[in-house]
Amino acid sequence: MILSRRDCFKTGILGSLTLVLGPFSTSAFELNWLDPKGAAIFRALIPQFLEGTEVYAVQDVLEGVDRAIGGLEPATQAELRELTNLLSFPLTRFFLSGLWSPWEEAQAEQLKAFLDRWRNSRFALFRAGYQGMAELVMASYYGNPNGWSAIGYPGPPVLSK
Amino acid sequence: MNITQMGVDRLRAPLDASALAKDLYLETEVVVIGSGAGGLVAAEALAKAGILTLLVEEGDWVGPQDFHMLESEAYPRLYQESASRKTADKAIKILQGKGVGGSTLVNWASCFRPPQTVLDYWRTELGITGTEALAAPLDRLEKRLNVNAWDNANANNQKLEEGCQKLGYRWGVIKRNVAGCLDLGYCGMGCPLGAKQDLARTLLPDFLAAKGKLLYRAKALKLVEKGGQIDELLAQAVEGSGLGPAQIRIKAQVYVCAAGAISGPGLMLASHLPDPHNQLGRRTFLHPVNISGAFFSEPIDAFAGAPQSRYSDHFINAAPLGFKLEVPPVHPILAATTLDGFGPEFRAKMERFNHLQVMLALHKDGFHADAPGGQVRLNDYGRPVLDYPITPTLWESFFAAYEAMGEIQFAAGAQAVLPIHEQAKTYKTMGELKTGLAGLERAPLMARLASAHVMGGCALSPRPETGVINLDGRHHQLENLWVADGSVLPTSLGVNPQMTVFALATKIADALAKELRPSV
Repeated sequence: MILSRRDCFKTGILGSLTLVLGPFSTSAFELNWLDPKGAAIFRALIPQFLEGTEVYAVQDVLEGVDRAIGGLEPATQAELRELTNLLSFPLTRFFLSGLWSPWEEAQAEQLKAFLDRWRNSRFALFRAGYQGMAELVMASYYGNPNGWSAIGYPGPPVLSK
Repeated sequence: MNITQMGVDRLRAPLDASALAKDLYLETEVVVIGSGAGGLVAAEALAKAGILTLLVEEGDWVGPQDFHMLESEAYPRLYQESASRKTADKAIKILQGKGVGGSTLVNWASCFRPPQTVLDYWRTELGITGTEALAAPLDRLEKRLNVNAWDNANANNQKLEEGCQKLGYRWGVIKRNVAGCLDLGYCGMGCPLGAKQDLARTLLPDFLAAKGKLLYRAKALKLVEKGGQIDELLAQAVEGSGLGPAQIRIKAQVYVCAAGAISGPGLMLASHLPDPHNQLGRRTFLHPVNISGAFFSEPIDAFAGAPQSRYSDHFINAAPLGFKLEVPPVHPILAATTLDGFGPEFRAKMERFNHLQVMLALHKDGFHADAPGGQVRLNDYGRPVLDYPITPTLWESFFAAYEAMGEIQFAAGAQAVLPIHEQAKTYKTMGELKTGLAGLERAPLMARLASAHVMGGCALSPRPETGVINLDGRHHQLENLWVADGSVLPTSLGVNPQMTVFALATKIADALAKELRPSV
C-alpha cells in the first residue's frame, strides 16, 4: 500500500529554476511552505550541494528555497510535497534514498551517495527529483548577493540618477 | 460581492484587477487576451482603427522604474511560473515572459525577419499563402522599434564570432530593438533604462491614446461558447501568486486569444471549444536548446554587455534538423541552475563564473517528420502543460551541436569545453570532447535543455483538418474567435520569433479591422 504511492510519482517530481524573493536577512526565521519533515531533508542536503563554498548559512538558503517553492505552480508544489513525504516516511525513505537513519542523523558520505545515485539514475523521475532539488538550492544560494563576490560577480551596475 | 457593470469606454485609466473590491462586468467591441508580442501589436492596430478594444493581461504593469537588475526579483515577477516552467517530464526548461508587454519585456532584444526559406515552406508544403503581406509591417516595426545591427560585441559574443572566423564558418551581427542602450546586459530582467523598445514602452501609449483600454492582473479562465460563437470571457483577479476574489465577466463582439503558445491553447482547452480535427495544442514547437560552456583564461564577464549580438547560421540547414548558434547572458542564478553537478565539482565551475563563455544551439523543430513538436494538455489542476517528446532525431541534432559548439569554442581559444550534461566532464581538446560525447547518454534529464521560444499549437492553416485558425486568423469553427500570437506559427522559424509574431499579429489585426470597419 505504501509502495503503491510511488505510482503518484509518475509525472516526475518537481522542476524548478527558482528564485528567491524578498530580503536576504537572517532575522525572523519563518518557513511558509516547507513542513518540518521537508525542511529536515533540505537542511541535510544543502551542505552537500554547497560543499566547497566557503561561507553560507544553511538557514538563509533554506528560507530562499521555501520562498521559491511559494512561487511555483500548484501541481509542482504538490509533487514536491509528495517527494518530501516519501523521503521522510522511514520505509519509503529507505527504498528511495538508501538511508536507514533519519535525515538529521545521516552522514555526509551517505547523503552524497544519495545525490549521486539520483543524479545518474536510470529512472528519469529520480533525475528530475535531483535536478529539482539542486535548482532550488543553487538558485537560493547564488541569488543572494552574499555569495557573489566569491565568484567574481560584481552585482548589477549602479545607475546614477 | 456586488458587481460593477459598465462599457469599457468609461474606463479612464488602466485598471488593476487585483485592486477590485467588487466583481466586474465589462462590455467592449473586441477583447484581446494577452499583451505580449502578438496581443499588444494586434490590440494597438485595432484601437487605432477606431475599434473599442480591451486588452486583458494576467501579469503586472511595470516599467523601467520597477526593474532593478536582480534575478531574484525579476524571475518570479516577470516570467511564467517564476521562470520554472518546464515540459511535463521536466526535461526542458521554458522561459516565457509575463506582464504588460509579455516576453518583449524580458527577451534579449534580438530581431530577425522570418527566413524566406521558412515562408516558402509554408506556401509550398502547407498551403499558407499571403505571407508577402508581412513585409510592410516588418519594415514599419523595424523603424518604430529602432531595430539596428549591434556591432559592439561583449566577449561572450566575440568568442562566437572569433571561433567561426577561424573555422571559416558563416556568422552574422544581430539586430536589436534598442534606443539609448548602454550595454548593461540585463535585458532578461527588464531594461532599467527604458532603452529596450519593448511593446509596453512603444505601442502601449499609442494604444491607450486611441480606443484602447487595459485591464491587468486579470487572468482569463474560460471562453464561454454558445451557438457556434463565443458569448463571454470569464476572468478572475490575480492576487499574489494565486487568484483573488473578484470575478470578471467580459462581453465582446469579437474575442482575440493572444495568451502565448502554452497558455493560449490551455485557455481554449479549458473552455472545451470545438476541435473536431484534434488540432488544438498540437505541433507546439520550442526551438529546443542544448548548451555548451567553455572556460577561457581571460575574463568573459558574460553578465555585462548586450546579451546577443552575434549568431551563426552555418549549421542552419545541416542534417538532420539544422540549428542556429547564439549565446545567452550569464548571471548567477541562470548559471547556477544550468551548470550540472553539486558539491566541490560544481563549486569549482562557479568559481570560474566570470571566465565562463556559453553557447546555445537552437534546433529547428517542426520540419522533419521525427521532430513534430509537442502537445499542450491540461493537468489535474486544469493548468496547461506541454508534453514534448525528445525523439532520436532531436538527440542526433543535439549531439552534432555539442560537437560544433565545442569546435568553435576551442577555435576561439577555450582552455576547456563543458557540454551541459550530467555525465559530461570538462574536456581540454577536441579529441577528448569527441570521445567524451560518444559516451554520454542521450536521455532526458541527462542533457540540460531549455527553450525561450514557444511557438505553435493554434496553427494557421487553409483547411480545418490541419490547423486551428484560417489564413486571416479566425478560428475554423468559431466565427467570433481569432488568434494573434506565436501559437499561430505552423512550424518553428529557426530565428528568434518576436519580429515574425509582430508581423503576423499585424496582418491578423488588419483582417479583423477590415471586417469590423469595412469602410475604413
